[in-house]
Amino acid sequence: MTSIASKILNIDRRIIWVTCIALIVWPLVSPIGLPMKVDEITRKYYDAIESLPPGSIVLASIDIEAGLVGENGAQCTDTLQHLFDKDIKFIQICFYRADGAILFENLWLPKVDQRDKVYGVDWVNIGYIEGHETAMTAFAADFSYPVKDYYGNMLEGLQLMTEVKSMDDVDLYIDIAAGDCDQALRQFATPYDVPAITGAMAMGVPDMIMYMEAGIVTGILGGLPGAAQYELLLNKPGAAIRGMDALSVVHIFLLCLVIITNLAYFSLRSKGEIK
Amino acid sequence: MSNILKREVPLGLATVIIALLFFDYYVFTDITRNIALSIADWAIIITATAAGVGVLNMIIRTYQNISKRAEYWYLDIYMLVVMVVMAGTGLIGAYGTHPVFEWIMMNAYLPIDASIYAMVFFDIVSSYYRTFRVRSRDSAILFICAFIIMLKNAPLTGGMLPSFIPIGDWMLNIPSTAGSRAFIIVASIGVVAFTIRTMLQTERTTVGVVD
Amino acid sequence: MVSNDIGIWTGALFTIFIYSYFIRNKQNIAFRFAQSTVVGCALGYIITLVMIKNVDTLAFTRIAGGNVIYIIPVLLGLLVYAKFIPQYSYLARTPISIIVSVGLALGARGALETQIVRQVISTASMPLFGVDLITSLSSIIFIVGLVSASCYFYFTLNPNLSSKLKPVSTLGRSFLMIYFGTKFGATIMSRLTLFLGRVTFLVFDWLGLG
Repeated sequence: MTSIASKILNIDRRIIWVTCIALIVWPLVSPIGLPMKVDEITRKYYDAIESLPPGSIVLASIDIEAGLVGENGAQCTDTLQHLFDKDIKFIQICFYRADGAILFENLWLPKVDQRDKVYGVDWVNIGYIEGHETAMTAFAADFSYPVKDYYGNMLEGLQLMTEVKSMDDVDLYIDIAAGDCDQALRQFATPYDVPAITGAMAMGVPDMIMYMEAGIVTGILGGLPGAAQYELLLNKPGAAIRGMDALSVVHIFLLCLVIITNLAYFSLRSKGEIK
Repeated sequence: MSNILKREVPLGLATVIIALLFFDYYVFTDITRNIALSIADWAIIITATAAGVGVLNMIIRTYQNISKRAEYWYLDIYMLVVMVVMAGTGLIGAYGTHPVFEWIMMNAYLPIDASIYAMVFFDIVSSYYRTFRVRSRDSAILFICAFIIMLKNAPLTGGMLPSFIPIGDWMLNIPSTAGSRAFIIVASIGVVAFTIRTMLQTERTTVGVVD
Repeated sequence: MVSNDIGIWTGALFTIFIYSYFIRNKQNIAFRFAQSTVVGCALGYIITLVMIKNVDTLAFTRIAGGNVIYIIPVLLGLLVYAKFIPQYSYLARTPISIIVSVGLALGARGALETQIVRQVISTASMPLFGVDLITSLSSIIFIVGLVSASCYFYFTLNPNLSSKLKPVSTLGRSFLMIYFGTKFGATIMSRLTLFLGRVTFLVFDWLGLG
């Protein structure tokens, strides 16, 4: 018994890694189809966009860096598709990372059905502005501040940019980014009293809940599970739902592992073999 | 003159800018708003112009590695070549829209960056089962909360153990949010205090003045 | 069916190069090759999209339109490069002071409302009376947790007072542990999802399984 407990505590980590990889690949190749429940925060995110009348104007900061494509990628494509489907006009801009603008153009946009929407009339992509919170302040006060869009067109020549001058003209702010969106909420949502919804990494959800309870944020997508629940609400199963089986299985494996190692630890500690 | 540029000008600018931006936020007038936005505008242009400092620093260090024939020095030459190719193609046409630039970003940069971020998974799994021992009251609380959240997030438990979801939701909404809210309130008070100290010139190192 | 797209093969090979690190848990030439590629790409897009594009759009376009005053922030930005010349490095303090003080002021004024005032108002608005028992108890637990966790961060009390507040700050630490526990549980899922994204790419896009 002692040697078993000791062996459990000293498992070669490569065995754990290979087991995790196998448990990830297996449900991807042959899906299990586990049931899923939609969280309240996801439902509110969906409702915030769904309740907007056609022709509403949204400021979207779909600003995912390359490293986080696995977690937030589905949130980006699903949100974009929802905006296009609902005939909602949007202005896309990035503040955190320049590769966010490149990914928007080359990864998210090609994956959605733009439904005959006209660039410059129904949506505008401004690209990346350097300056983080300072750039947010300048842009929030004057949407013509960036001068040109991502493709080099003058903003004053785009019809949508003549309809909206500042955050006062925006109906909803969407922020899908790596961090916990503090800066954007400070500069866009609170000063102009614009409702905001955010797509965050799963580890950012405990922080975003705080803003939701304060009434600053209306809805949250939490990582891949949030995106999967969003796909359920949209009735468009996609990449997020596909990954949930693997997520579940590995979660359960890791939980069982840590329970077993703690039991082994307590067993050895009770015998005085470790402190 | 150089002493003025070394101390008085940077400190004085910090005081005036911080005071003006605070005044603009709480006492809204058109004049202060225009001045505040102009200051923000200039700060953005200065930041963008100065963004090359990190790049230049990297180039200098790479050159030193190549000169000293450090380990994998030939890969540093390769890195500089990649940098030149990306910078060159990125400047053609509308910035960053050249097909070569986009191809390299999507097929080299993105997979590598995503893989590097995902490497943390292996370390987290190793540390999770090796060091996550319930040794004290605090670690017991940490373990139980992490356990509940992981069960809540795994859809498997939605069908098999549905009672975990409201427990997890309550834990997330009440005690966890109380802790995070305390954290953010205290941290924000610290930020405001730090800003006021900078404005009053009692905090000088952030604006580059070292006595 | 294995992909015949050269872009996908490039991505797959670079992914494998990065994970070759775990063979002996140290850097090898394949890993360094991939690392040099990503650093070179990052430097390239910083030069293009962060520096040149923003300066061209925000300064040079306006200068060309007649607003010559925008030469001044460009010159101030160039002063930052004086850091590389030791005898003139003090010239960089002025533009750095502008950048830092603007960032601090904008952050602090926003934090005052979003992260202090609104959070306190939200806490004070929590329902205590006229609601069911669970909601009322939850509100009490929340308020107690917030106050006690805030006391934990109070480090500058005099020793007499701090010893009396010790039970409160110990309770506050428990609430902070709950917060860190939820974050840790969510972090594991975050990191797992990032790796899941890479495996999905290799399994579906590269190898064509499933």
